[in-house]
Amino acid sequence: MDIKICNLLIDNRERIVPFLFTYKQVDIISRYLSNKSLCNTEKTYLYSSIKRKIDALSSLSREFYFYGTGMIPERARRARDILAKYPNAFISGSFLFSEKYNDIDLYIVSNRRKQYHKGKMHFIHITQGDLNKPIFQSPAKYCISNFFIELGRPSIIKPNFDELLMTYELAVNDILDNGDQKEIRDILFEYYLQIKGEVMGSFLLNKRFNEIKKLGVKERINYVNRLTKELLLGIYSNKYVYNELSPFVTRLREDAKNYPANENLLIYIGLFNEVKNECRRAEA
Amino acid sequence: MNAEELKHNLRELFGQQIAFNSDFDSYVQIIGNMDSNLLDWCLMVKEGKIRYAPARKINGIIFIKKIGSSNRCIVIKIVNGEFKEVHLGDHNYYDKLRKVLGLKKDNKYY
Repeated sequence: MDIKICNLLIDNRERIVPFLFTYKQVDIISRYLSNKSLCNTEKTYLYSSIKRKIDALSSLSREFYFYGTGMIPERARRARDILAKYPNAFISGSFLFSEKYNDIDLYIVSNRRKQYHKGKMHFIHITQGDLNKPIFQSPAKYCISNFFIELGRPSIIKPNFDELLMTYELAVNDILDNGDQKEIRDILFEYYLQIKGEVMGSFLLNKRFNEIKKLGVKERINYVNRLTKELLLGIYSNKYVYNELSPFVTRLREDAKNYPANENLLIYIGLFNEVKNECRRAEA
Repeated sequence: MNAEELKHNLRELFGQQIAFNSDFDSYVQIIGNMDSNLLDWCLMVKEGKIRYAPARKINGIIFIKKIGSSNRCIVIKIVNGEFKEVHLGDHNYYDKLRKVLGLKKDNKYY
């Protein structure tokens, strides 16, 4: 909810009650601002009709909110021009901070989810609830918006074990092949989320990712190994990891014997054995 | 090279049993002149020169190639030493396919 608008309403309550807001509504806003407790009925009232009115007033103010620093001024101007055409929207991504960018990510908070490209524009329609998802909080932490973005506590869900292993494997392969290595970014994001409990903003994530990409191949692999090891040990039980990895390592050993391009397989085996040993020690 | 020619070349390389995804033809047009790289890459896959990412739950191995910046990818699956499928699609298709193969739990975006 737009706190600035809420404060303005409280300051001008004599002019607003009862024409735009009722006395009861202003009282609820006032108690919300001073963090006083609200009963369930009042909370429902606040987040339904009151919030809608405030959002409508907020859209009339034509103000822009800047979350993050170091944006390219010319891009910020363009972003504001674009945002003037869409209510409840924000622009994030490399367009704001990087000389080179692929597309302009425009997030629109609406009732339906959809995404499509139109020229350079990438439209991503999300719901209000989606703003609690780490994947959307990340761009919202570094963006220009035409509404006040209030980020709630992120809903952190454990990643699927196989998906994490696959991301790690692809990251190692991409490092060895000198590809775009975007999987490193996924692991980095997951690491901060799961282990440190933080949602990394898109700018910080990109900055850290570029720093890692400058490291040598061996250092990059060691870095990815360290993060993956901490993730595996930090989010799953030792017993589960040990039981899941044991047959997989046996299979990888067989594969490594039979398959010529096995440099990556040997790296996986090294890490998974290390994780297995750690699990065994912890259980003993 | 058009879609039929590319399919023909891939069948010659991997065998007649190879299957293609339904949108294969349309993506051949999208990737344009990158298809020669694709054939070279497939040849290297056949010769065992390409690293693969092993998946625990799949009876076979999968090779993934990123094509272009918008992440169109290819997955080739081998079952019992035989090449089975060639997929060509955009990132959304790649996500869906990974879900089907059990390599992805849920789409992170939606």
